[in-house]
Amino acid sequence: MDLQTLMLILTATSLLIAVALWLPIARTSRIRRTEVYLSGEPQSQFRIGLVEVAWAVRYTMQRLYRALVEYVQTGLFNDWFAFSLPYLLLLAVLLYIALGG
Amino acid sequence: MTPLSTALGILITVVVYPGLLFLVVLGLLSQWYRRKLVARIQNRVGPKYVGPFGILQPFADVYKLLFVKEVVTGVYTPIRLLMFLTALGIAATSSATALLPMAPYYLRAPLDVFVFIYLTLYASIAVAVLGLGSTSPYPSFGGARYTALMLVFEPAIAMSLIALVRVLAPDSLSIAEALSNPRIPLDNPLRGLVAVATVVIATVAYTTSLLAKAMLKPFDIPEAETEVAGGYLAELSGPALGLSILLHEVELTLYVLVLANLVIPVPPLEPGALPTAIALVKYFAVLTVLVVVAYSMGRVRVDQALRTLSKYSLTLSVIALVASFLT
Repeated sequence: MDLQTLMLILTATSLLIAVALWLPIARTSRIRRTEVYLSGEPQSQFRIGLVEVAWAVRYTMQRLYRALVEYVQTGLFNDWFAFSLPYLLLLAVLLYIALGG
Repeated sequence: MTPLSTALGILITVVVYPGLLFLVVLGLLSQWYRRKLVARIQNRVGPKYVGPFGILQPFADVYKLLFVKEVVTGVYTPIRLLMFLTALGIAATSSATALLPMAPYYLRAPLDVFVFIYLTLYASIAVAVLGLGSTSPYPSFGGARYTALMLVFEPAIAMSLIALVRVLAPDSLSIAEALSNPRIPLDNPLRGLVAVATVVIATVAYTTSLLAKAMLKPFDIPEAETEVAGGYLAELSGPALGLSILLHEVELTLYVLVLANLVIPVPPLEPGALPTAIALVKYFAVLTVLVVVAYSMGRVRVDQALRTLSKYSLTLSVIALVASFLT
């Protein structure tokens, strides 16, 4: 028997046994769902509004902006050049490929 | 042989012996033995009430979890999917036993050690997903910790296994051949010495990785009760917990069985009652050593576990793999 056939046979057997093992247990087992604990608030009152999403976006963007200001925009040309060099190289490679190698 | 009889042979091997049924029974008996041994070390009684000497306690536990108890879980936890992944882990581990030359019908191919590694990987992934798939933070911590350890112990266990098979079956790299017809290089003393050293180093690496993979002490931080309130098992109950316990036992049993018969290759693993009995004696001997070593140590933190695993498992397995090419 070759390696590929062996791998295929055993993978297929695994899937078959997994389904045979899982189906009766999953069908007969009783599942009780508990609500998420929200500091005593009922789950029905839990909703995410548009305003919260907007605040979340603003908060994330603020952090991104701060990171850009602190690590990239140091005011030194050398820092900016070092940061953008990989992207310039990537652009050059893409341009080279786009122009037909 | 007709295709139908071949398929039937594979199915019997994988489902009955030495597959699922054999692994489950041996795994639960080993759990009882492990619990009794640990209880003896810690001056406790251990399982006592179900069956003679409490030998049926693990069977009763799993039966009750699978067929009597209900699953209590969070609204957003995909519990049926998690149960399927656990079942897949058990099934893939059972399928890997088709490569063990214990049954009259076993499978073999050149390089089949890689198929063994591939099939046993399902169980580790299932354990990690069991933790990460829950919406509660405690199992997620357990799952994340297991995943962090997995990135070190999985390559180590694979490399040490390949090194062991490389020494015993250098031409085919077949785990079935290494177990059934091991080649022990006794003709050349120097090569024999290198082979013995490789086996010793690979065994240390394999055992250390196995302790982490089976979450035995000192690497049981993914399921630590005091640190992460039960770890990856914290939110599991009923059949989901029963299946994960079965997965753990089946995985540990297969790995110890393979380790015992690779480290003590004489007499080789063959079909039949006597070779199986000898294989089981080797299995329980190795399991005893493993449990005594594990439970004589205390639990370590995740960073300490990663450092220890990198030192004694990953580095040693690389050395064993390189040395195995010199034999």
